[in-house]
Amino acid sequence: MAARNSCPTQERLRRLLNDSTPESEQIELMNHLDTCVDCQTDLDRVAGSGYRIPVGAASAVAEPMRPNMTSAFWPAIREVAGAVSDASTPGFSARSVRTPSNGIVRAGSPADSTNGSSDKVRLDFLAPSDNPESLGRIENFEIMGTVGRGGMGVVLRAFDPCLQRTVAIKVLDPVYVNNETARKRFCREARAAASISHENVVAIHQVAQEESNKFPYLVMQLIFGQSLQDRLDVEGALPLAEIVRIGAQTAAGLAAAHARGLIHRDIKPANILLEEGSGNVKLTDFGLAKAAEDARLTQTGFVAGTPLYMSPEQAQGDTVDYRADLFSLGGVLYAMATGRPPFEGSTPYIILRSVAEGQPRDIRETNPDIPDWLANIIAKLLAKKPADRYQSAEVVSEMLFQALIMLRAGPRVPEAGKPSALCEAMHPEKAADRRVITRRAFAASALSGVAGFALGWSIKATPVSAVPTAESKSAKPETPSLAVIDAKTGPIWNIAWSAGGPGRVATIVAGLDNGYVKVWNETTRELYKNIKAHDGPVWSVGFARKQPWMLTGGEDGAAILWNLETDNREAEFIHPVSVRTAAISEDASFVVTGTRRGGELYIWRLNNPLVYKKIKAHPGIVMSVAISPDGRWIASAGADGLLKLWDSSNGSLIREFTGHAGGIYTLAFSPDGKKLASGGWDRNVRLWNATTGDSLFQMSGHLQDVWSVSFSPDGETLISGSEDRTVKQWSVSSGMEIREFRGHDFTVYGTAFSPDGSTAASGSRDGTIRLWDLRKAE
Amino acid sequence: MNSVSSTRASLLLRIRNPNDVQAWRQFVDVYASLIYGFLRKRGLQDADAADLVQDVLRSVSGAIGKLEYDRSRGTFRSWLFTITRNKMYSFLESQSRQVRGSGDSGAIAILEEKAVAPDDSEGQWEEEYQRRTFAWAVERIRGEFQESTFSAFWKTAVEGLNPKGVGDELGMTPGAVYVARSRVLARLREEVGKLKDE
Repeated sequence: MAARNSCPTQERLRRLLNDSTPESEQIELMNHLDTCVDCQTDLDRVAGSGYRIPVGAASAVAEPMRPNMTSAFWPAIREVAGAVSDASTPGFSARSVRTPSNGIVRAGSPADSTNGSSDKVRLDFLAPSDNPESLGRIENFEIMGTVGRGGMGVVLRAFDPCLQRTVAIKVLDPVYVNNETARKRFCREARAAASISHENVVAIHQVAQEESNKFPYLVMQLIFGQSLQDRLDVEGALPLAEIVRIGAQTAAGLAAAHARGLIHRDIKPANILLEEGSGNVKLTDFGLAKAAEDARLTQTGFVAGTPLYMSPEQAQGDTVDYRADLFSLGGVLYAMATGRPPFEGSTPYIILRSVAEGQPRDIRETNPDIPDWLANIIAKLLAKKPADRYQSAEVVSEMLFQALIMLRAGPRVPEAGKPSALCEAMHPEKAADRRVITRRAFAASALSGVAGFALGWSIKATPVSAVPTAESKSAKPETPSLAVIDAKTGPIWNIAWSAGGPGRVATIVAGLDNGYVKVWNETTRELYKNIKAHDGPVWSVGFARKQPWMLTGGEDGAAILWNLETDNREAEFIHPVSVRTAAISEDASFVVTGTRRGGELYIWRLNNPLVYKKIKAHPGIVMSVAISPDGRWIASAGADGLLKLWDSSNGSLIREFTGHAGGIYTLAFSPDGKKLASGGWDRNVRLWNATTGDSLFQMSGHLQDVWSVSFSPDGETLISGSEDRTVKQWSVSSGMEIREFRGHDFTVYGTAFSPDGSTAASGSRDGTIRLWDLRKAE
Repeated sequence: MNSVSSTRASLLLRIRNPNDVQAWRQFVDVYASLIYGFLRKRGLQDADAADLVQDVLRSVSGAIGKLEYDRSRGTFRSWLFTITRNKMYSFLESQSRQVRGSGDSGAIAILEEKAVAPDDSEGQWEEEYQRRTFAWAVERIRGEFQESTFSAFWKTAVEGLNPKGVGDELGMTPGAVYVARSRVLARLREEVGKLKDE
């Protein structure tokens, strides 16, 4: 390292780079850099700072960076930039027009001649016009520009000088002009479509045949806006209220068409226009798909329409009736809920097979925010057999509109008075597989939206104060901690400390409010894993003694057993309501969970995660559950103030422990299984004889509710965490307080001992875990 | 998940103002060309590619005005890629229906290939993005340096030639070559960094 003495510091190198070094020094440094490889590398590093010159950089610069002057790129860009910087037309409403069955839009701009010349639509069938701004005429309509091109023809933007309004004119593709059948069908269907008058269907004003060239054309309402497909492209899955609104309006439009005997046959997001501003649905292209199909079938035998949203009967060439549209509606709802179509594949054939025979991925896998009632509606619409679907678009639209009202109204709308179809969707008669039925709360709360749960919901009349009061804060100084681990992600609801083993790291874990579980290496205190465990708070974390498994219980109703070595989930137990507490037996043969609503205890055997024993344990929330070390007993504590002991093999109640005045929040068995410790609302820590039910000690000292208790591995002491922000250590034999640890800023929700008993850990709402050295004397 | 960006407004924030012409120009140069280039490479003709560019940019402009694209889902450019790719597929699909109608089997075969080709396009997109930002930054900073300084950088950092040889050719000591190269590199990195948040 001796050579390093003559090398400049990084600072000097930096100055050299930005030229702030005096000339003489520069020369000196450059001479040094002639030969010193270390400094050459250093300089490079300081300069580049991680930037990597990309592969093919040379050609990137050699190639023209931009398209050449004659490219259509430039007019296109001018249009975009112009539209944006033109403050009088916010967004692109004046120019962007979407029509069905095409993904391309080109805003016609007759003044821009380059635009006209690169226009790929040949408009030579237009009659000449006197109007210099127009591209040509169809009858008396002045064609102002093209809007787009679809499977059936070309859509033009036109002006009707007679009625003085802008309209869209759809001209049938020349391919079909000579096909007599297609033309007749086109006209017949178009006339039927023209008879639909509904706010969710694009109005067709006129169906006619051009005088001289005899091509049929449609005059329709020009819609400014975008298609649903455009929106999905940009946003992905849509918010629930939007899905329901768009679904309801689409169904309403379909109902209007079906009432006129028209079947759309090509319902898909690209055909559902969303009007600029209101976002209202406008369906278009009714019945025209059939005309196209006739034409194509005679030519190539190819099935028209996107297979992505096609019904099985269409896919298989069976008879098709209006219920095919309902299937497609289901597909559209699915796409709004997940951002993807229900059936996918890399070729049309694969997609069709999937439509006919496959099952779409469960919506809630992709988007767990979708409530069950909507998933049920979608599933019914996507039934393979038409007879199994809803039998009318009218019913579907009514259902969805009602749901929309309830969504918007929030929790205050009573359940009575809903249309029965919606009721059915919410509470399916069929006994569904429990795994599938719900991870979410029941229908009523799903409809009212997930209410934010206040941290520290209160049981007492007076709200629990989370902010430290002036007196308690300034009263005593902090006690020095061994270490502070900052989880940096909000409240910690529970912590646990695992033992290490051969090849296994000893870890401290915390269950977090944001659904994650963080795992730290006990010795280095570095973050070792960050696991997304649940949707919503992770209420409990704990370790099995005999296996490297971690059990977590969360607000989302799941209790999961994680193998931290392989990152696998060993088992998952699904509940209909949130899991407030969970425990695993020492031999890891069974798991007990307690729920937040309904006060139930579930006993799950690990050899069969689908079957469980359910005990109605408490009238309210089960706050804590513990299993005796020998696995024979389960103790449960409720917000009702009751502490109960159960037989783990048959779930029968053995005894109750009375004494706590108020809810009990925490429980622990002593290592020898003979004692039980509890703490709760009344600020006391209580010690009980587990076998007889006698109260051994009532330990007071905490100034506020006790949220956590843990026994030391040798059973001699106990620690407790409280809302008063302190951690206290107590003697088990005497019931006396040994000492107090101060330092947390908020409630201590979790406590744990290190496996060797030398250190105590506490996890708090302040987002930190503190380690306290127990060996040091006070 | 909102990372706090520096006080210097990122390009994405600036283009929310339709009157920030400079920001829009930059946006168009870097991103619009990227989209166009990508589409051309995938076989689209000039006019069609231009159409789709317009399409994508309109969607983006509308979206940026109304919603904060979700940064936790990835970078702006990968979001842009998703939109571009979706629109490209829609286009190919609608195009394919016309081609099928015409019964031209040769054209159909080409289209099948375009639509179904194995998709490392996101990787290509990313590479193309890196190349373009590099080229764009080079274009902007080149004028700040002497010809010899820039050459020293170019020949060693981009073409990978030996600094001693380059020094001989340019009449510079090896040390000078290193300093020249590093100065350009630092400036380059700074310029590319202006697009960082995207």
